[in-house]
Amino acid sequence: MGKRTSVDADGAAAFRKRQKTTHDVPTGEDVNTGEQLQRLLAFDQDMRRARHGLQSFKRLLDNIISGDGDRSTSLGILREYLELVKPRHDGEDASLVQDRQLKSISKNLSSDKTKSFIISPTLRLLREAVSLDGGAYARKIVRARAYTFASLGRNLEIGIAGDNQGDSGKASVRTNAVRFFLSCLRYLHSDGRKELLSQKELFSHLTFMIKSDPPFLVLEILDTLKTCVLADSKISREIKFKCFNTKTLMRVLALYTYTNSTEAESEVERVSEKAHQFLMYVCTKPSAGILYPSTGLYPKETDEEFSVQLAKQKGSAHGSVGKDDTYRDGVPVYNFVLSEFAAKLRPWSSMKHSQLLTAIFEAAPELIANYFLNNQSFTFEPKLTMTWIGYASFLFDTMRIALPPSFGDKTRFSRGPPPTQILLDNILPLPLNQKVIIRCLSPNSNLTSFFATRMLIEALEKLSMAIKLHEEAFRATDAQWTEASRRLIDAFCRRIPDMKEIVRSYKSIPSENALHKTMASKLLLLYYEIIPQIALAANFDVSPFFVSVLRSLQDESSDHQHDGFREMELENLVSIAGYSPGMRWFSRIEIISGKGPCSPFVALLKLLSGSDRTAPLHQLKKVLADVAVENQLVSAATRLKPFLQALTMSIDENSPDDMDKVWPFLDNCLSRCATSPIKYLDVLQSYLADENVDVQATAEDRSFNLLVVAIAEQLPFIMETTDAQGLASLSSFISLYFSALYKKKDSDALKRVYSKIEETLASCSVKIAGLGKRKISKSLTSGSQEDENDDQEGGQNDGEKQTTVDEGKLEEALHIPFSSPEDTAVLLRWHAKGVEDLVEDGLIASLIRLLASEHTNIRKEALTNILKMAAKIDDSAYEEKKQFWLLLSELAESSRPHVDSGPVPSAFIAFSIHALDVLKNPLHPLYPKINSFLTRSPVWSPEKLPLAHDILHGEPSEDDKYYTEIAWFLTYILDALKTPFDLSIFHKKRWFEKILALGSNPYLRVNLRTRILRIVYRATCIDAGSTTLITRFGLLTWLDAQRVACDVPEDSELYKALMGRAWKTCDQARVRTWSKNGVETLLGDVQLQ
Amino acid sequence: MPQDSTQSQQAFSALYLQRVTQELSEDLDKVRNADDFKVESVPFLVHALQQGAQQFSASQQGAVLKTSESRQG
Repeated sequence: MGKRTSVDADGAAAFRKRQKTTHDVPTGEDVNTGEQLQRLLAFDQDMRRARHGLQSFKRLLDNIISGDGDRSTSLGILREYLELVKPRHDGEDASLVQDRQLKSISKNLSSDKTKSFIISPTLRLLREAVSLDGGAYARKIVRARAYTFASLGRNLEIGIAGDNQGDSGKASVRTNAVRFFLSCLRYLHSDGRKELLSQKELFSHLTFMIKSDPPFLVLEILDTLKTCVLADSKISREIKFKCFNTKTLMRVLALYTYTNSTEAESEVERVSEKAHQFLMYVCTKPSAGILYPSTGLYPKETDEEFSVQLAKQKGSAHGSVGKDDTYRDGVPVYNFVLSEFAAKLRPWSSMKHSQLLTAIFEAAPELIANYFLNNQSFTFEPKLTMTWIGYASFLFDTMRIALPPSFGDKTRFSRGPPPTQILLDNILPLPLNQKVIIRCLSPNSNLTSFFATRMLIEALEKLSMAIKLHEEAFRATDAQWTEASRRLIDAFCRRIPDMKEIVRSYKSIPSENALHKTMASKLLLLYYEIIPQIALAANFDVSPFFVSVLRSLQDESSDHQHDGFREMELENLVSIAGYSPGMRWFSRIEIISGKGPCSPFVALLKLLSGSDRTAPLHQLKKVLADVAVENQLVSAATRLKPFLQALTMSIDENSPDDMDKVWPFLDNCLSRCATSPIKYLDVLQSYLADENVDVQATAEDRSFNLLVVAIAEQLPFIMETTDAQGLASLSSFISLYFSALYKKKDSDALKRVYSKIEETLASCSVKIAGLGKRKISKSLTSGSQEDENDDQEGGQNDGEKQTTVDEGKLEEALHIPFSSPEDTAVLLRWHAKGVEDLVEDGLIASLIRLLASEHTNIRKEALTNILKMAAKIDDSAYEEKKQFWLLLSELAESSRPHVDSGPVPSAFIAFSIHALDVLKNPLHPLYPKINSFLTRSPVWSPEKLPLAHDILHGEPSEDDKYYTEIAWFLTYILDALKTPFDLSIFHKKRWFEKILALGSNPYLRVNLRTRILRIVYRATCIDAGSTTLITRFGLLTWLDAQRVACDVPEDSELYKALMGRAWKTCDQARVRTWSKNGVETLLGDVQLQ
Repeated sequence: MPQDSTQSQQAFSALYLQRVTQELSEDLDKVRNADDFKVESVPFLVHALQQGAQQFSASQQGAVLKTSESRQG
């Protein structure tokens, strides 16, 4: 290789110089052998000869491309040449790697550590050698590490004095050693890198002094480690784990506070920023190999004991309460390295630490509960220090992390809820306990109370998300989930302050702190919405508070810049009032002194119809309309819309002074309607009595209401006391209101009331426009109109969103995983247990499940063990031993012929496992049926589903237990359908027909129906399942019939989605032919195609 | 559109921060005088104060901003 290196500087320069002066026509010759070509292409200082060689080569290549002449001969020559110049691996030309040189290199490297003038150049030489020719020799040099890596560990730690960026002449031994090592990493292939990294102490030497390295070196180290180690997917997780242990991560973390007196500040900052990015990458990217895939809020299953406990939890809610306590000592996690590292971070004192930790939590939610459980020494006692604020900020960011979908593990999610304690710790981190939060909320400090309020809001919102996850799809009717949801809410309520503390905190906030008060009112509202049991217990009277907010909104002397927050506060308080049964909406009080008494309802109406409002106040509108409908003031069809339209237009038409005469009248009418509705209902009836309409039409009347009647009735009483101007405004409002109602629906009753009003007004010679003559201008009313429409549309959209079922949702609703993983340990474990434990701990079931194993020897072992277990049970003093013995023996005898050829029919396994539960409980309605089945025959037929006939066609053992038996049957049947063989039994014996017929029972409860759909879904997962169901059992038409027949939109979407799935998974060509293309018409009708 | 929404989010964050700082000014003075308060703490403090702005929905943010603009001064 010596030759080639000399090409570089002089050769290239010479070439350029001569190129300018030489204009000879290049000559060339025919190439006949590879050796000739090698000679021609050998480096030559003489330009002419060099060009001659190149030209000859070009000619050869042209020959090959054009295809003229003998192409294969030319290719042969080229191949021969390439063979000749291929770098040789026997190292003969790599003079550096020859023994003699190696020895002297090793000697140089191991020189006394003061002799950096010897060590450094040697390291530089090695580095050059490694990077030479794209790293062609890197492997060889690393192979010879007995010499080339001599004293590398020591050299990696020698001196840094005089280090200077860019001036490698003065670089320290460490700098040179580091760069040599990094070059090795860079130029080696994955296997070489693995070998290099396995030299554990080298890696440690590399990072040991990183904090005192110059910035450029730190950056180079971090870059190389990222691109050549972490991002190399061929380096195993195990090796990465060894290198990036807590110690290494801590060294990188130390770079956050990197200082260097000789370097520019920007460089220093770059290092700390780079270190942060590096750790973010290591700790949050699964591809880096350090973050381990975990199961979210489901803790890692440590050993078999744990799975047994889990199985127990499935059966009884009480078991899981005990189990929850077991996490008080620690939550088992997959990411133990990150857990250890997390404990070393100081999120309260550094924002970057806090960011890193919350990013880790987000990437591995399993660590949240684990972290707070392991690090309980740091309390959240309120103090006005930066540390407290930092901790609060970190806790807040942690709480903002959304709950992972399916709580982090789809499979276990389908089996049951996560442990309450872990979920709770994710919603409300452990440091936030009731005592501490109450102290934070104390009126002594607005700051701590503000922070605590925000956190509680976050916690409640997260709780509501968690509850939602507990109640979606099939979980709504699943007792385990409802129980878990109740437990969660109870535990949450024990961890947070009482409502009275929240109220006290809200009251103590100075009224000018608009934002703080808004947040506190939001918190109060969330208490009412999410944990009403706590909120209502406090007997909180909200009216004085919202009156005071109203007052400040209407008080012209106060600062209105933050009315946006105040309006939000008002909305919250009004919504709370909507929840309080004792709220007096219509009793008049003095809200603003000097303006006369006014009911809260009317005060809020004024606010809503005021034209200067920029905020939409949807919530306020909704609550007021609800109150109005509830008090029968207006019809549910129109709600307050026409009334608000008329008010808005009136306010525009009339001066505030004139309106001041209209408001008290309306207030009076509204409160009369609300306080004595029966009286006005009678009057209303009298208007309708003349009308020849049926009751149904009256109920649906969109325009006629109590308020209208009250206005007509009250009008004469104020005629005398009101001046002409006031009456004109009143008449204008009335005509607007009636026109708005009239526009909604023409009604004779309305006309009758209106003519009565016309009469009354005429008696005082006040003019009023004819009914429907007033134009309800769209532009004027658009604001309120659109808003209400928006509200309604919003609701509908939500509904639609809920009802469309995509594949994921369908899977979530109906897919039950085929089976849990095989637990072969049970083959040995059961021997040590007593018979009672065998029965209670589910070991028998685990053993039976092994009969379905793919491996013949496991099946055989299982069979032998089942027989042994049967014998052991029979020998014991266990009371129900005979039945268990019989069941196991029959299972073994029935399975024996199948064990050698493949998995035992799923029906045997499923029946035995579900029968165990019945045998344990003599009060079970199926107890007699199972016992008589067991005594009927010693062997079960593989062509039949054990006991199925007795349940589906026999009489129920007790009259009212039919559905209980069906529920057991459907669960068992689902487990009995796993393989194509099972499918064939279901098909041949027409079980599908019977199951679908069962599903056609209109009185079947939702959960049983869901079980049937799960069986259908399961069948679609098996080969040819969908095709069989469609062509043999008319599945698509059955589903379509069910879809049309059901009233619940969610369910009908579910049927639709299931149709889609069946179509997608079947043999479409065959189904098309079978149906004579009818299937497409059917699917087209339900918009699936 | 996304640019608009980021802009209004930033505007709201700024308004929120200003409001929090004003409402908690007394306590913030005490924090500033605490032993553990350093110059480097400022960004962290700002982050801590501002982080609650995310608790307001986009429409709420818009409403507050609108009101604030129309009532300013």
